[in-house]
This record gives sequence, structure tokens and C-alpha cells, in this order.
Amino acid sequence: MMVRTTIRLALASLWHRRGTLSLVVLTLTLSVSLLLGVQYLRTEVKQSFVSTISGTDLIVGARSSPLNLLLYSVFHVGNATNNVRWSTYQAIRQNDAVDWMVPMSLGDSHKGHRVVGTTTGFFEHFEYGQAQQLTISPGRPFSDVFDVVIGADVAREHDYQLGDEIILSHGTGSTSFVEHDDKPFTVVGVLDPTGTPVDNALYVSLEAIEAIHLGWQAGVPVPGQTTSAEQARQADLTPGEITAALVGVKRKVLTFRLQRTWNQWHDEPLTAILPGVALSRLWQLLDGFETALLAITGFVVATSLVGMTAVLLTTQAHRRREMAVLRAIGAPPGLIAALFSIESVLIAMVSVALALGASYGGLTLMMPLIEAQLGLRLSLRPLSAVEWGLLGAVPLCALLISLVPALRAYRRSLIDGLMPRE
Amino acid sequence: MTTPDDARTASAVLTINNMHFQWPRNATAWHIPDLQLRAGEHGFLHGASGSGKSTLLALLAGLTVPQSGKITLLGQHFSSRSRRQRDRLRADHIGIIFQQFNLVPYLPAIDNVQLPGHFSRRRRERVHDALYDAARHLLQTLAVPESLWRSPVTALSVGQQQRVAAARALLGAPELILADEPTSALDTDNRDRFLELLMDQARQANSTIVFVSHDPALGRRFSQHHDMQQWQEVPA
Repeated sequence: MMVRTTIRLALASLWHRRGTLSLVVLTLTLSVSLLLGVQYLRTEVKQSFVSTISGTDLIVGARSSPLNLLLYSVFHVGNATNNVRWSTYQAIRQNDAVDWMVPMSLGDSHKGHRVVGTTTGFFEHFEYGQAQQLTISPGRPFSDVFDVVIGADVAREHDYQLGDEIILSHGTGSTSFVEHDDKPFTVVGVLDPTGTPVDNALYVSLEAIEAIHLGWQAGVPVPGQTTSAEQARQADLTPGEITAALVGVKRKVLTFRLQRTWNQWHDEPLTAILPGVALSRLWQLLDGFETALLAITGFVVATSLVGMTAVLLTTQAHRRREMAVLRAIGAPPGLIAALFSIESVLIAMVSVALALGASYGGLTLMMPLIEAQLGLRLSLRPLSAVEWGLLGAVPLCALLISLVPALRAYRRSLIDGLMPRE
Repeated sequence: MTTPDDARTASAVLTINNMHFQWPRNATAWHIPDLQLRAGEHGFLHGASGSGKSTLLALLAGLTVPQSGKITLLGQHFSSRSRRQRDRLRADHIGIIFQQFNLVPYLPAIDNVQLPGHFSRRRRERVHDALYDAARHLLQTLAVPESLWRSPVTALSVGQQQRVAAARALLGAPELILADEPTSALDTDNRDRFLELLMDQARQANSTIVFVSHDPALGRRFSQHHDMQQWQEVPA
């Protein structure tokens, strides 16, 4: 009876002061939404990040830092400092442990999107997420020298259809001064969306990369030596060098031995990395930042809770008469104190519930934006135990911090007696 | 062994024996040698403001305890009980009406009247668990317009608020009703009407009223009169 009465009183009192308290609820809702959003995005981004590449056991490129190799080969960020000779590529793929190998040649772009010269093996062997393979629809892999397969975002952004002709540019900037406009490419396939950097790239054959650079020297076309597309088709298009290669190993136990062998390659300095290890190392770099972000949002929530307590303490002065009345009717001082604690916890619970709605609503709105801007494919999922824990901690902290006004009310109600001295 | 005096105390609603008390932060001390109210007897305590009546009422309500002496409520040594027990006794046996601001601001009149029933099983049982009906009945008897029962209490006039407070004090027929200047905010007409209704209901519930006021004119309806002045001790 007493507990029910206390809760009923608390509810009536909150409802009575809903005008003032709605601001407290708003502050708390915003801060809890922020906390939940940061925690949610942090795990989602990590998930999306880590699932950028899978099924590839090693990535090999010219000697550089593992991070750099990972960034330019998988994320299309930055550039290779050096290339790998085609002969070296041929030599290392002779190793018995190698199951498959997909070369990649980078350095050209199309309207800011990277162009990757590769083999059709790329579409067979490249995997992302939980061993998901690339699929092309509509269309097919490239077969002719001037065929191009484009990522989902490239198609969407520029509204490209099968059969459209596009021009590649030299270099990887978004504006290029040198266009390969003498050799247009035909779109023959559009990759399905993957939520990885693949969506933002274009894929051509290694021969195509050779063909568009025929008659070039030191990165610029030599005047008078330009070749037509038809002439290029007839030329010898064996690549001179590649940028990196994705490698599948026959037996996983051989991965480390293979990595060591290539890292110590005698003819040419090479770097071989395990993508999983490199990814988690890269994530660790960001980890400090995102933990700091979470801590800051935690402080924001704490600030809101302190604000709530301040409001409760302020209203307490106006409520001394009410407390005296309750005491006169026979309410024990514990009930008076509980009233303040219950009110705090109820405010926190309402805010958490609202924040839950706000976060999911916000994420639903933000997801297409994030995908378009950052290429991160996020998904709506149920909350994890950690996130429920964070949400549960909010009313719990509210309860703890409410002890300040509660104890004050308790002491006062004993001193005040029937007549609060105002 | 029971002395005749003890037997007399046991049958009384309220007895004060040789009680000393002092207003906090005040040099004035009070001494009440002997005061007794039986069931149906009403006491009028006359005292100017600041004459220690609030402290006396807090003592009678069990919110504080005297420096020495004892208060007996319904045969129980009230002033020596624990705080928890005093809270319980107050909830069960005492109704209190203040000068003003009697009502819990966020509850409508009808809920304010039912409140004591939520804190005291005894008073709940006395109305046979029909709190709502008892509250209705009291509000009707005390002439609070039914249209205001569910309105916020701030919509009520001071006179109406005081009658709601009286209804609340009377709910479940507590043996003792403490009234601290309940009419001081009312005009003469309202004051007389209020007093009449209160005494009437107290008679029906067989409750004893202790009425504190600075206005001696109100005293004629009461069977016992005491001037607070007489209990004041001149500081040594």
C-alpha cells in the first residue's frame, strides 16, 4: 500500500510539474541519445570496417609499411610508393602454397573514383563480410580490353547504364588534367552494393591499363606517339608492373611461412601482410579516439543528471509545505525521501525510453546519408548487452545522484515538523 | 498496580503530565503541569502568534518530543515511543488541519481527502475500505461543490480548501483532531460556518478537537479553555 501510494504520489507530482520537467527530460533524452548513438555507431563502424575484406589470406605489394599497403590496396586511400615488377609477380605465384593470386594495378581514376586494373579472378576470389562474394547485376565481367565493370555507388552517382561510354583519367585526384579520352571504355557490368570501398571503384583488365598508357613516358603522353584504340588492341599488352596482389593460400598454416618468404624476397623488396591483422592494427589507431568520444558523451549524460538534481533541489524549497502536509498525515520521512528518488528514476526512465526511439529514428534517417558520404554500410540491429547496460546505468546513476535531494528532504522533514520555517 | 489516576489516563484521549518544552533557538520555556481531554471533549488553546503553539502542536502530533514529562495518547505513552511508532500513531489516530496551504498541490480535492486512508490501515478499515465513498460523503457534508472535487486544488477558494482539509482530517474518524488556526484566513461568516461543520462532524465521529487560536472569541464552543500564557516559564 505504502509503495503504491508513494509511486502514485511521485507520478502525480511529476505530471503536475511537467512543464519544467519536460526540459529536464529533453536534456537527458538528447544526451542519452548521443551516448547510445556513439556506442552503436562505434560497433557498427568497426563491424563494417573489419568486414571490408575477407577470404584473402595475404596482400603483397612493394616494400612499404603494412598500413600503407592495406590503405591503398583495400581502402583506395593514398598511393603506392613503388610498384612490383611483373616478373616478380610471375615468380612468386609459382610457390606451391599459393592457391590463387589476383594482381591489382592502381593509379588511374574516373571522376574521383579509383580505377583498378585486375583480372577476372578478382570477381571470383575477392570476398567481404562473412565470406560474401561479389555479384554483378546487371552485366558480366570484363572480357574486351576496353570493357569496364563499375561499383554500385559509381553507377548510382553518375547514373551509368550498361553500354555507356566513359573516359578514364590519369592519376587519382578528383580533377585530372590528363584524360585518356582517346580510348573510351564501355560499361559491361555493375557490381551489387557491398558497403565496402569496392562500391566506389571501377574495374578493368590489366591489359586495359597497359593500353591506355601506350606511348606514354614518365607519366605523360609523348606527342606524336599516341595510338588509337584499334592499334592498342593489336599491341603487346603484357603488363610491365603491378601495384599489389591479393593472395589465397592453399592451407592456412602456410600463410606465415609464405609471408616470411616474400618479406625476404631476394630480387625485389616486397611487403606481405595479413589483412585481418593489419585491419585490427588500423582499428587500434582509431580505438583511442572513439573511446574518448564515448567518454565525452558519458560526461554529457552525467552533466544532464547533475542538472536534473539541481532542478529537483530547487523545487525542493517550494515543496517544504507539501512535505510537512504529508508528514502530518502520517507519511514517514523515508517516504518523503523516496519521493525524490522515485521522481529522478522515473525521469531517467522516460528519457531513456525516448532516447531509444530517438536513436533508432535518427539512425534510420542517417544511414543512407552515412552510406552515401562515407561508404559505410550500417544496419539496424537489436541493442547489444553493452548498450542495454549503458541504458540501464542511466536510471541507476539517477537513483544514486537522487540521494542528495532525498537525504536532504529526509533530514528537513524531521527538523521542519509541522511548520516549515520559510 | 493501577492507581485511579492511571485508569483516568487510560480512558482519556490525550493527557499531558508535567511536560517541559522549549522552542528551538528561543529562551522561552514552557511547562504544562496537567492537561487532559476525554473522548468528545474539545480543548481551546489561546495563544498569540509566536507563543509556542506550533511547537506544542508538533509535540501533540508526535513530530517532536518534550524535554521532560509525558504525553499520553489513548493510553499509550506517546512521547517515549520511537519516531516510527509515533508516525504510525499519528497516521492512525490524529487528523491535522493547518492555518492554510493544507493540500498536496498536485492531487485533486477528492484524492487529498483519501490520503490518510493510504497511510493508515486503521482509518481505511474504519470506512470499510470504501475510501472514495467516505471522501465523497465528507466533501458533500462539508459543502464542497462536487464540480471542484476533481479540479486542481488551486482552483478552490481558501474557505473551500480549509473544508477539504477538514474532510481529510476527519476521514476514518481519528480520535484526535489538531487544528492550528484553521479559520484565521477566513472571513467571519466562513469562519463560523467552518467551525460549526467541523464540530458537527467531530461529534459524529466522536473525535476530540484541540483547537489553537489567537482569537478568544472562537473559544465559546469549547468545553475546555487554556491560555498558553499561563504555561510560560520566566527564564531564570
